[in-house]
Amino acid sequence: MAGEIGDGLIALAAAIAMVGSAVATAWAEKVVGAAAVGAMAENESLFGKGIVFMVLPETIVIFGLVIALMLLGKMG
Amino acid sequence: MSRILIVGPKKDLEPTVEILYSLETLHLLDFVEEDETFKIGKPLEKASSASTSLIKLRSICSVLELDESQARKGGPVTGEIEGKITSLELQISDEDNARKHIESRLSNIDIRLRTLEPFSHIPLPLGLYRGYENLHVFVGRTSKSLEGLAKVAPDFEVYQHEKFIALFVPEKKASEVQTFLNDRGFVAVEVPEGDGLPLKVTKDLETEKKNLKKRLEQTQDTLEKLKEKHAHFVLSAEDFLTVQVEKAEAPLRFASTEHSFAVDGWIPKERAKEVKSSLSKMGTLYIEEIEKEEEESPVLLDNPEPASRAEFFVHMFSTPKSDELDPTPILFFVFPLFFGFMIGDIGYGVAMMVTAFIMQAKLKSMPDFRNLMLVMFWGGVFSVFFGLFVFGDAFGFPIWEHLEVEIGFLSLKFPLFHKLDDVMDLIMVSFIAALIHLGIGYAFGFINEFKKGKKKHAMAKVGWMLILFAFFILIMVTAYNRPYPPRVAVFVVDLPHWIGQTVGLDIAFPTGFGFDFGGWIVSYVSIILLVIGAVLLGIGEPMGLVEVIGLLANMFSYARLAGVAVAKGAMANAFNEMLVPWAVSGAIEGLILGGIFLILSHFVIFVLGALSAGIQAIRLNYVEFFLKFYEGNGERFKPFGEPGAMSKEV
Repeated sequence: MAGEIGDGLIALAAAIAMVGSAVATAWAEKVVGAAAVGAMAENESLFGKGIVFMVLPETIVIFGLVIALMLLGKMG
Repeated sequence: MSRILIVGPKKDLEPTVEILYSLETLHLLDFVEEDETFKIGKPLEKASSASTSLIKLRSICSVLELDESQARKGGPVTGEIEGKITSLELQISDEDNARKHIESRLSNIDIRLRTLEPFSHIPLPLGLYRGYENLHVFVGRTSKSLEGLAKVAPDFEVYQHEKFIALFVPEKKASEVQTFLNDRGFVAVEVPEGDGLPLKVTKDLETEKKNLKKRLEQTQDTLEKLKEKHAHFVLSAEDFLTVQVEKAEAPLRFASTEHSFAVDGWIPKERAKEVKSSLSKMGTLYIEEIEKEEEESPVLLDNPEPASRAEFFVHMFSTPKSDELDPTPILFFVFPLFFGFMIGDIGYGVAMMVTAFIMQAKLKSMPDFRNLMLVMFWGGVFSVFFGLFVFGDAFGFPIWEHLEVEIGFLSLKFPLFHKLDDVMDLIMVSFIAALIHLGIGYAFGFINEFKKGKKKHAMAKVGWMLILFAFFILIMVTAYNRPYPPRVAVFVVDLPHWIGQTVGLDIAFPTGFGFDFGGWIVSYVSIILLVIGAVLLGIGEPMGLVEVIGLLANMFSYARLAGVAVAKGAMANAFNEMLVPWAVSGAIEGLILGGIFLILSHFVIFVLGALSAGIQAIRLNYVEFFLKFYEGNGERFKPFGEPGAMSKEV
């Protein structure tokens, strides 16, 4: 029984790691993306640079994913 | 690319431009540095009349609402273009002026009708609202009733319709009444100009409006007829004149002296001979190839079919520099491969192939879109491949289960992976994709830096590659040591052992051989690779050391391959489980409704899947792959005379 609760807590922790990092990424990408589209409207050749800056915050969610996977690895 | 200089006498300027234009192979370099002898050339004489006609034509186009997409029937225009344009302009401008006049009158009437509307319920001519010496008139809306007004001003007369009031009081009581009204939320309304009963004025205006609308329809009809009749002429004349203007204005990009001109530009090496021979036919031109650094030259990506279809992906990101490797071939293979892996379903794959094939045939006028569709077609082919051999899925239905095939020492179970049960395996496959894709990226980076003679940077790329391998081994061994290791990790870790067996050696990957961090065993092999890689990187690009973790993030970024694949599989599965029992329940309405919903839901999955898989596949190339080696910012080769090369702003 105790093990099951522990597993549940680990799963919850993994979920929180994903939620937090995903929301953070979404918020950051929203800001950068809006600016990037604005810049592209001025000058289309900025697409390449724009997409690179836009996806930089994705690192955050990936770290969240890594933590989540490591946590899941601890489940019995 | 060869740099070429053409010098000739001014009298031969026009024929030279004609030849260069028809060859479509010279990338002109604008002459900018004027001095005493060399000036920027003057446009040919016909330039001004041609561009005037072109401006007229474009205004005709905008009046007739013609655009590029309209079909051009018949051949090119002939005869006297300018005369035709002028007469057409006259006809159209009359109609257009009439239309504008009617439209402005109509909007005036609408405004007047709106201001008259509240007055129309009160039977007073408009003239009676103004022009009194001893009377003050309040016209407006009030939200509360006027009870108690008699106390403030005993002599008053009021006309009321709902909230609208027209109140007449003696002038001397005006300020008291104003206060009284203000307390009741009174908002004044201006009395419209004119005289007569508002109801009658409104009626007259309505009649006028009706007549004007009829006339507007007639004018629009006439314009529509003119459009149908002259569309072909206008569009082809525009094409013709655009070319004329471009030719006539070309000398603005040349250098010229009093009696001669000079043209400077790049041509692809293999066409240099052809250009020279056709120009030397003129007899009076001096042509010389100039020795120049290649790196300044514009870039023409030159891939064989069908890989050239993916070139637009590269240009969209940034045109490569002339001394950089062209990543198009890799992109052309990897994009459809990733796309196919993410879709991984025969049904959607075939649908993608059919859609892409039809779209590319329909949209011949949009070359970039057509190229995208042709690349997507290959994405469909790969989807079918993965659906057939790896996932065994068709629209989310399993096509085979528990099929075992023996190939040498490998015993394969089909389907290889189940999208919903083998998530960890799919993530491991994503890491293999990361290893190969990023490895190619670093190899490209190494070649680019080495060619430029930047040995240190080239060494740093080797360092990065070693770190990449270190992370890969770290991840695989960690997965291998878990209680239920994913099959892919087992396969990768045991691979050296199997390869050794076939050549008669006993090599085994030392999985348990490493530091023990509280049960997490970090393989020595990965630590050694990491250290060597970090040393090379530290010597080559010390600043790169802070970004080492970023590489790990890049590798995890490939997990989106597994993510999208699983999400699509789960969606298809969920819809099937919900709707199939309904459709096959036996009842006729279940069959019809269930069938319709099933088709609709699969259509939605297909569209969403194609969209997200396409975006994710190109993103992995743009961000993870390109940033390992790509500089870009090169100048695209744009030959003089290429259709669509000139901007439409004249």
